[in-house]
Amino acid sequence: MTDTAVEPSAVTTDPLLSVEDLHVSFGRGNATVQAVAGITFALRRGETLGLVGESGCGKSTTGRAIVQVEKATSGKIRFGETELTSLSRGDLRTLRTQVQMIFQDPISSLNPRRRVIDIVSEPLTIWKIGTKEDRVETSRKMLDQVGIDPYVNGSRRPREFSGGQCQRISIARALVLKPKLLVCDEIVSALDVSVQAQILNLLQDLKQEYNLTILFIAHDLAVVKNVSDRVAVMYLGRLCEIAPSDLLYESPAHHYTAALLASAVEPDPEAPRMTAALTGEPPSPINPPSGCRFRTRCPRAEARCAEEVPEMREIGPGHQVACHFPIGS
Amino acid sequence: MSGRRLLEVEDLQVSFATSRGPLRAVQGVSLTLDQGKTLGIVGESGSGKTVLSRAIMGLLPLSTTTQTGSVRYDGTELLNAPNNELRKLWSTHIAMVFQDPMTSLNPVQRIGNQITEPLRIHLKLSKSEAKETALSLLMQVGIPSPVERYEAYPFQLSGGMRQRVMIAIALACAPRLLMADEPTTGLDVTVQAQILDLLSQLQRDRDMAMILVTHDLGVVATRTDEIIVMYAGNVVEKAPTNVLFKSMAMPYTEALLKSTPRIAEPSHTRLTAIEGRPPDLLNPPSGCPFSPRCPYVQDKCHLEKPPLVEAEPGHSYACWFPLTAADPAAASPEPDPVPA
Repeated sequence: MTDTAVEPSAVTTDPLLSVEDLHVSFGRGNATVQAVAGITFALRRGETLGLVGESGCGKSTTGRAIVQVEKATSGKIRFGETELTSLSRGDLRTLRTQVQMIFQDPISSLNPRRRVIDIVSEPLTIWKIGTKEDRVETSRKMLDQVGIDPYVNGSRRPREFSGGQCQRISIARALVLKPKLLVCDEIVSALDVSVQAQILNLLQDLKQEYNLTILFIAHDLAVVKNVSDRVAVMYLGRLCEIAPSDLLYESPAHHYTAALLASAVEPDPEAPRMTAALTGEPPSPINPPSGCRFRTRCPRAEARCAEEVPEMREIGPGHQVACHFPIGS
Repeated sequence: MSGRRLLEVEDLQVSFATSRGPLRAVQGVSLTLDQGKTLGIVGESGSGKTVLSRAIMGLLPLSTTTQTGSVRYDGTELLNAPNNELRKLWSTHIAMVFQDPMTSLNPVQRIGNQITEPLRIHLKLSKSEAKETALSLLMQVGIPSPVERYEAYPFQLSGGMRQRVMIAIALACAPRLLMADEPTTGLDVTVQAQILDLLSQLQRDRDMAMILVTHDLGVVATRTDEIIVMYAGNVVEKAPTNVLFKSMAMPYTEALLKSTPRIAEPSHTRLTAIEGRPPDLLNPPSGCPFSPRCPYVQDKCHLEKPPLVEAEPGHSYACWFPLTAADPAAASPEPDPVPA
């Protein structure tokens, strides 16, 4: 290959975050949308877990529930020793120093009226960390690290920057408190490929330096593969499959994962060109299919799939799948 | 069947009047397209690809844009033609699928009306004939239960469905040239695959010519005959699709490809990012527009703008020091060979 593979950082088995049977529903009565319908996974210290799926599958809601922007309907979210779903508001605030999120739209997630240096130092100001001079100094260093010259650009306002630069500023703001967990929700989907590569490389570097654990939510399969140690695939509120990245892309066990991979386009005219692997669109999460939620579009579906919800089970080292008839079995 | 020249663009220049002076969005683009063929136009945001496609369609406001050069469709000059002339060609000869299916449809008109409108106006069909044709179009673009959808409003459909409706409208009067500007951007991968397959199939069935404008090299790799790569308003490389991917000559094309993450590569493969960002078109760099970001830049690149020259039949590029000219190891400052 053309590039040097980045060594995965020290990943331990000790989970930093564990999510257990998480449910998030919106609305009530007949119009209840089960955005997340019982998902369980763990994030090990120092790893990047990719969460991939199509729009409406609940991946963003999962991320938002972890940082407690969205309230979990039921289930547990444990961060280290702390149970997040039952925290008081005060404790939650303290916790936010350790769990940070970066959003999709880089420009609208920054306050348009504030100077960049103030945006980045605000978390420090809120937590009264150091003197005023220290805070400015720390923020300048942080900006410099994400590739924004603090002396030239520190006093500018977000509108004067491009999308890629705004995303750099968002990263600086998220990392200035030195969090342990970073939730990235589609952070490169609004950027051009050349800028996307810059941001992905930057994230990789900062991850090493700050010893971060990352939940990387995205819809682009190639991007997710590039940054993640493990990848989880979501469909209509449930997890289909979790496996180490290379393994998942090489030998997917869930029919949905296989269909997603077959639909992806690669910049290579000689890549095998598949016809669209899936027809139609995901059913409504208001009234999801019984049993396996993918069964209505699955090429392998049988009667059992309508009756019994497939549980996550281990089919290989670190490879879990929720399917009655996984590929290759 | 194919082979007949449908579209000829010659030295097309488009500039917008802004308060800071003229912005040259398209700086001398020439291209040709034959019946039944697909041309891909690739570039990042601000490269001029959308402006180019709109100029070909004649959709740019004449009051604020200056357009020179020539756009000939089947012998007819389109550039700066009055709207009533263009209207005769729109829909029946040239049609366009726009990028954003969410906002391109009229939100307060039923889907059916929006499809029958061109049929009634251009083909002068009766109400019932138009409805019949519209239903068969909805069927062709793969919309389930077309009779119900015919009465639906756009907000009742998903993004993928709306894009199918857009395609149905564009195809209603059987155009010979279809312009698709980022037809799948914003759609999910499985839906993107469906839409791209649909476009290819309809194109084959109808022997249409198609221009596929996109930022994604993956979209054009397997679905075009020829590709034009644009950067800062210029065509920097033009080649048949296979040739482009096998022996790209322009460093920008290579950089674009190398910065795209791929599923075929192992996880954590370091991407080769292009440093910096595209130039400000109000204040472009002298010489080659890519020179400030080019890893192979030499003095000459800053001084003189390289012309687009046809080095081999069908393969043109605008570069003083193309990648294929010398031994790649000697030309490359990095040890990285070009990916196979």
